Amino acid sequence: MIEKTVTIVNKAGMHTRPASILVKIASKYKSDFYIIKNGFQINGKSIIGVMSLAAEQGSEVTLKFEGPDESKACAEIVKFFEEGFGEI
Amino acid sequence: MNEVKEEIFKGLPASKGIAIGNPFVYRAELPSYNVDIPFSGEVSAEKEISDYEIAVSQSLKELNKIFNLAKEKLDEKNLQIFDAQLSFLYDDYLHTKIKNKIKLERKPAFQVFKDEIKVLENSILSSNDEYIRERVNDIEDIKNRVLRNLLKGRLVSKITENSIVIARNLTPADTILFSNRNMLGIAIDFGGINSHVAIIARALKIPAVVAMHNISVSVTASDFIIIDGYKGLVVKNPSEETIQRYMQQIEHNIEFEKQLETLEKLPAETKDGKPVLLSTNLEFNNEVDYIVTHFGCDVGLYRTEHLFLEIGDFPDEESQYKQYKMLADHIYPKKVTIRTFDIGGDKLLPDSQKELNPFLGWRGIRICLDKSDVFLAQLRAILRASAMGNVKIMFPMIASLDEVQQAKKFLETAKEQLREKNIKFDEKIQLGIMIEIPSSILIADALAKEVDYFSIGTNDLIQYTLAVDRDSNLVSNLYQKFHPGVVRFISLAVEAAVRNSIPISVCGQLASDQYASLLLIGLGVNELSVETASFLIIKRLIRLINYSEAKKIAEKVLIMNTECEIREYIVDCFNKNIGERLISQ
Repeated sequence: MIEKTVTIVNKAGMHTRPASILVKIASKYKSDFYIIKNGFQINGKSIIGVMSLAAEQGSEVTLKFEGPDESKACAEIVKFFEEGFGEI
Repeated sequence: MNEVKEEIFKGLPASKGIAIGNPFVYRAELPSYNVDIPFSGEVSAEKEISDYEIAVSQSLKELNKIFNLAKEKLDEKNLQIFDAQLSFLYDDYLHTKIKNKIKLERKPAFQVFKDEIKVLENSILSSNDEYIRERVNDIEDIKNRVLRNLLKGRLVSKITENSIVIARNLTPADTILFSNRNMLGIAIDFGGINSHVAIIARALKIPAVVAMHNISVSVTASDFIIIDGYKGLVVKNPSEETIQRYMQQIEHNIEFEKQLETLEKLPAETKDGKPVLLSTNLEFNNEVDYIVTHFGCDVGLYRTEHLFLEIGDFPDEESQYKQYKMLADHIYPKKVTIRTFDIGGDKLLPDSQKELNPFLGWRGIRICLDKSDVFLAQLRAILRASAMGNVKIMFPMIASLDEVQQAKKFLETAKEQLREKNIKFDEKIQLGIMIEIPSSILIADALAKEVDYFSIGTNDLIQYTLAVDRDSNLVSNLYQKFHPGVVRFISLAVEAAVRNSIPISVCGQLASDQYASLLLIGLGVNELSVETASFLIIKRLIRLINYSEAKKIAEKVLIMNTECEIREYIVDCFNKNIGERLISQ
């Protein structure tokens, strides 16, 4: 299991477009993927889950990966967060 | 029929044109969605689950159909919203959760789905961030679609053909669908000029008014209405006289537009043979093809702010490069002038730090000079797109000489960075500045030595010259385009440009105004960059006047001392030279 804490950096936060891309990326991998914000955990492969985080710019979230390809999944998803979902 | 009184409602004009007809009052949310549907007796979990599955697959089918329709009509950027909506319907975790709940709680699928979406809406609405809270609109369409299918409701998204659609708000999906049912016009309670509905309506050339507050409850199917997309009005139960007036205006517009089309291939030249460089302003990609095929002119002002506004942040170099390159390629061999970000600080700062006077605050070049990474990325993107030699750069909001010099240093740095990587660009790229702050006019000789051209931004020039906020209703009568102070400033700027042998254009609203353009040409402005909607109107004006006469008019105006005097004189000259005013503005 890998855990990694990241910050939402883009201005608009986790809005619908990045949420749908995130879910698409996560779904390519076999590993389970969860996002935790303020002690509240959601399934990162569910857009409804991701949207319910209502994560605005500056908020911190913990990403949790578990499965055979967890390090690959972690690398790609952390990069997506760090690049501000391609909106910087 | 009983005498009904004409009523006028005011909102914002979102897409020009006039529509006259019967309203179709569209309610996306059936009233029953708000109440819990009572259910009695046993709920068959199996049946509810299968109903749910059917409703989801039906919704998918509908949305895919809309998505395909949208692909034909919209560009990629506007399509992403549909793609994201589809992904809600592909959310297997949601589906599993709903089905488990149905089994466990023995409640109807309708109830379970509605509760689940409500939980999501509540978490989104609990955010402190306004932008995040607005995302609740993104799930509205999906929610209503699935609920309607669960109720086996008829497709409400079908409107009566040839009607004017009145609604609280419209989703992009509805707007696209309705356009296929020959929707005549749109009037909605919510939305701004740059909301999705507005952008799509303009792209589809459907008259639209937005921000009408309560129009969706003020109009019923039995009314008769007119939408005025020029002024942002809805006229309910218009009098015979009003209808006649609007009908005439439509006829006039059709006839006039036909006449205007004959001008497309003719040069923009005055009767006595002086050519005027006529170009267009550009903001959205959907206008590019039209400009190339119908006008074949330069783009005198490409505003880059919308790239920022769409994502709420500065776009990266790569995506900017793609955009600028696409534009330069399309417009080639004509030229495109790209203005660097002219964003106000109010778009960047957190609420707590917002300025009291954003127009006098951190905006335009001031932000660019402070945020060097952002500025350099934009300059590199523009330079890379300039390789074919048809791109120009323009800096907004210049107030002093050292701002130009600093900005030029950034441009040199950006060029150096590209040279190091052997990336090609136009070494002789032309650089200009916006003349929109009074101080820049008084030091124009010094500024002219630093740049290749000037371009007057009239909206800000008027606002800063007269100290009148152009968006304030209280002082809107003081926002005077023909104020002698404004006219003299423009004249001074032109003189400075002539003295220093650099060209000067006008790219503000004033250039799109026929009366003002008559004066601008007389003052010696050699390029007008106008809104696409006004391009042929201004070309017609140019072809109907003598430069020698326009010059005399300008000379007379320059010794007048009141706005009223100038305005009346110009209108009078216009009517004598050009004849009756043919089109509503």
